[in-house]
Amino acid sequence: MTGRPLTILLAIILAVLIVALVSHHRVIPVYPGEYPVIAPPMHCDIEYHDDRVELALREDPLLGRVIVYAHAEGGVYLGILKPVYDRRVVVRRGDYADFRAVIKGSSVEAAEFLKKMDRYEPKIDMFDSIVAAHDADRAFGVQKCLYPLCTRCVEACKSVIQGDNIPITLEVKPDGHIMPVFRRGKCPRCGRCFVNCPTGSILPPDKGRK
Amino acid sequence: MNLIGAIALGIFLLTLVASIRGWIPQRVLPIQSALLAASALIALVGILSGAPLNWGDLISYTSIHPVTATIAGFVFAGALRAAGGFEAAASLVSRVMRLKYGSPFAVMLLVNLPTIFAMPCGRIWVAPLLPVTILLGEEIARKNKDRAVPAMLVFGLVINAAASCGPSLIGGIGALGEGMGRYPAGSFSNPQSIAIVIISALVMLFVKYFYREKAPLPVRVSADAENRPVPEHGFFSLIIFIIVLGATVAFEPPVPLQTILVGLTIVVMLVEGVSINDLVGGIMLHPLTAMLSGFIAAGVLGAFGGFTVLVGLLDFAASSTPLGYAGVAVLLAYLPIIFPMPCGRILAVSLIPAVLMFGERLAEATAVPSVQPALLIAFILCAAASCGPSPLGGIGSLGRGGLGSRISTTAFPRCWPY
Amino acid sequence: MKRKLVIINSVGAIIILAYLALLGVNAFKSGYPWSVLCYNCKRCNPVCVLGIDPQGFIAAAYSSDPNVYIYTTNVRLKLHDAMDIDPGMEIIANGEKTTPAAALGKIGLDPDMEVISYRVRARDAAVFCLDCGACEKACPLSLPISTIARDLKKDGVFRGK
Repeated sequence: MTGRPLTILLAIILAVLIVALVSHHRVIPVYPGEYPVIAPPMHCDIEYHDDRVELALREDPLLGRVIVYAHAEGGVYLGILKPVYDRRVVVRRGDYADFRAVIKGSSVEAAEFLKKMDRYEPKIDMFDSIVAAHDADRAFGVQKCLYPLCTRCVEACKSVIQGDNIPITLEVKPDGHIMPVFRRGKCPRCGRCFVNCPTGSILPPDKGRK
Repeated sequence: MNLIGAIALGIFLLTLVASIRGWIPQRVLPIQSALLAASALIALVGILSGAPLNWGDLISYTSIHPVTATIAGFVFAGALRAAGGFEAAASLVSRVMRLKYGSPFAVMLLVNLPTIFAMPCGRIWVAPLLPVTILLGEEIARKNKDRAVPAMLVFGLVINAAASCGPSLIGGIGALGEGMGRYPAGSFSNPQSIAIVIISALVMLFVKYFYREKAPLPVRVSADAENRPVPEHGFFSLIIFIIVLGATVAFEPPVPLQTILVGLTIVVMLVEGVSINDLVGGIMLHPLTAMLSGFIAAGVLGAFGGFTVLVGLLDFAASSTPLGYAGVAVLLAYLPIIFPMPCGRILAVSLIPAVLMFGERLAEATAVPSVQPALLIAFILCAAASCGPSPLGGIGSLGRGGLGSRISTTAFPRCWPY
Repeated sequence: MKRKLVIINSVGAIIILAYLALLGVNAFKSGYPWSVLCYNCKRCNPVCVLGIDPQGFIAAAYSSDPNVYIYTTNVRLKLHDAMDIDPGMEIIANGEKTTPAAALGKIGLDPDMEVISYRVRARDAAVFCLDCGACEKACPLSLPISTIARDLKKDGVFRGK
């Protein structure tokens, strides 16, 4: 009588294996169309004051918020997510960085949030960091793409393409901001990257042409 | 200070103390009814005084996960009992005991199993393990002629299981604290597990040495467990249960624990022909309703600002009394043990922000940044374990029920090690 | 226990169990039946840069109430904007917790001052949500949390309404 439970157990294991195999077999939907377009980086004019830095954007961000970043010593990238009012962003003394990342070459090695529930660990003044970056001739400015906070384009691409060789990577550009970089390679032109991008950093081909 | 919040807090604490101290006898008004009545009273006072009650805010204080996980655990325990899994476990333990050093190994494994495979609610382990632990305790008691052994083992298991939702990565209180404090997932798990093992051992020692004369007697004399007939698929049910739960903890599959337990139950039902009545027989409504009534009371209290008042009082005590921030922080950490609820989440959800705030102030005052996570871990552990000594339908009630023990003889030894 | 007490306490227990059933019904009603599966493990919480507690969206779903207040501890906005959105939301202004109504009225702060949110209604938190999907990625059950935020962002109501 031990055969019955064993048979059932085997049947269950088989069923689990089949479900696992089926769920891992991803169908790649190839949409007709062209390759996605990477939006140009966001530029701004900067005014320095004793207690604040005002950044005047040259375009309206899609989300109404942008990352203001400043590079610090030791390849550390500091960022704060600020609201935009009338295309202006103001960073005041006492505005602490929301996150920091470690940059190695052109890629982000690690990132961590500094804002905990209602505290900062540690408190890094973003105004001071921008001034220090300006004085030391390090990069600072505004960034449209929300990386390393958001990785939707990469995740969406990974859901379609197996393996690590995906066409989208996020890189630190020479002027210090991070933006997606697209290499045609294996791109199936499924459109998931620009559909999922909340900031408009990756655009559909027709909008990219405009 | 918000007057309605203060009144709400007063009613809540009074009800709690009255139920814990037995001023409201459980035979007259069990904790569920008492908390429900207190909630209704708070709501009535609030509404009559013109304070708005947002029903949604009240409901949002409820955690569904521990309730459904416990139901699923009880259902499976019912199936396991009907399938002979308990007899199989007793037989297995009995065989292990015959080995050299088998007894301490069996005790260590049984008592610490809930923390090794930490579930979001300790009741999931206690329900199937309790009968085996009692049997094992009685065997050792007979061999060693020590009547305290069953109580030692049972309450060791109870406190281990109660606290195990602290280190549990699948939706335990510890995960809640880590998430709210924005610490990496699982970062508090290991220190808690080690602490729980030590605390369980201390509880067992306390039961043995300090409460020996009060410890309940093993009233039943069990037959030799090894010679008891084990139903045909008892071992199969038991082994599949342990393997699947172990795998769930180890691999954290993206399938809800409840689904896994229900799936297991169906397998056992198919194999052994267990009926629905057996499953229903495994469900204990008291802990479930106690947990839910606690959430309702916490919801009403939160909706009328009772917790804000409590935090305000603690803040006042810290700044204006000799207790200071250190004293109040310690008091805050022990609050779940002082007011042991049937589920630690009832207080944890509302008080973790206050713990973080006090931790931060204490860290600033002492210039030791690790004070904050230390305070948070202490609070989480106390909250998680508090359903052990809770006389209000906590896990301890299961242990007491199993031993036929009285509340007062067992609640204190389980509090002391904290 | 006396007969009357038995009846009273049984009714109490039935009310409590009905409350549990209500949560399930709410979850279906709001269009997110999966919300009852949430572990409430808060793994989604530390990954949101805006400090939104994504589990709050789930709690709002099984409460069937988009006006539930949820932790949103890192949205910077101007005080007058906070006032326009919800005068009762909790904000942090000058390091103190308050509400926009109190900050503009009793305290008399500058409406153009930048404040940080602390607890806001789920429907407002959804408007702030960046839709980065980090919460879904962190969820051990991969629950589609951001669909609630997306639906609330559209018109402030749940899918099922």
